[in-house]
Amino acid sequence: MIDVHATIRTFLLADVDLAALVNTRVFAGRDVPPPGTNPGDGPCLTFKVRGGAGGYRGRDYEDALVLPSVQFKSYARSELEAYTVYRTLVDALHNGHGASILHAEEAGVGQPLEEPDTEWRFVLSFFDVMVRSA
Amino acid sequence: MPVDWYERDVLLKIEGATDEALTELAFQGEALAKVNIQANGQIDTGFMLNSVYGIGAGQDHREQVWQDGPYKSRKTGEVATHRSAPQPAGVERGQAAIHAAAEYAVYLELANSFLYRAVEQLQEQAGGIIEDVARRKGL
Repeated sequence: MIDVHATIRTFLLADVDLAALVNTRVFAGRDVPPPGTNPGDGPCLTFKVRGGAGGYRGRDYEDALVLPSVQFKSYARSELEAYTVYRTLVDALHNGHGASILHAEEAGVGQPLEEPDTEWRFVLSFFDVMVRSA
Repeated sequence: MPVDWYERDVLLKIEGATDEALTELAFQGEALAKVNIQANGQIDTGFMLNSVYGIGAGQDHREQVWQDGPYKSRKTGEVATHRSAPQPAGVERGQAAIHAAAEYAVYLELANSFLYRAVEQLQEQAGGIIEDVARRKGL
């Protein structure tokens, strides 16, 4: 089966503008950054599949194509900087395609939020992604 | 921090469904979300579980939502004040919605989805629910 998290991470890290902002701090399969990571030290992204794959939408193509809905959180020191990371993510992924990403589309507009425990600023967004066997 | 969070995916549009079918869909979605909250182990005070309600065609279960106020954590024993967001505007005729009104619900949804998952489950059940209503109506 296609490794959706690895595929999306590789796709994002290949984007020059996004990589310039977050370096390699793109954490797949996570809701919040891993222990030891602090968005105050530099912007980062977390993302994880929240559903979609294996549902009725993918049933006809499940070996070659999966269609997950993916949750992204763009973290940074400030709300404005988090929004910059989010906008760069949209530029990289929305309508994006490549060898392993057939198509990606943002679902709604990103919403600035704050983690209740750590007060880290982030922008929440969701993308519908079509991932295929490369 | 109070959060009003709306998402287009939460609104499940069923074209051509009757008002009765939409109401049943909304209430079934509410039930699915509550089952998912339990399955996810996301119950502490019970406030969020009891803040989830369906909004159908001119009907809703808002009256079942627990009142704002102090609630004691079963896990830590601490007492915290919990509040619900107001009912979302913009649920129009021909739509159904499920509202997780607890103001912190979005964070638990992001950590382990109960609401999006419920909508996906509801999509799979929608055909059967609409057929049931149509049969009862003699359609």
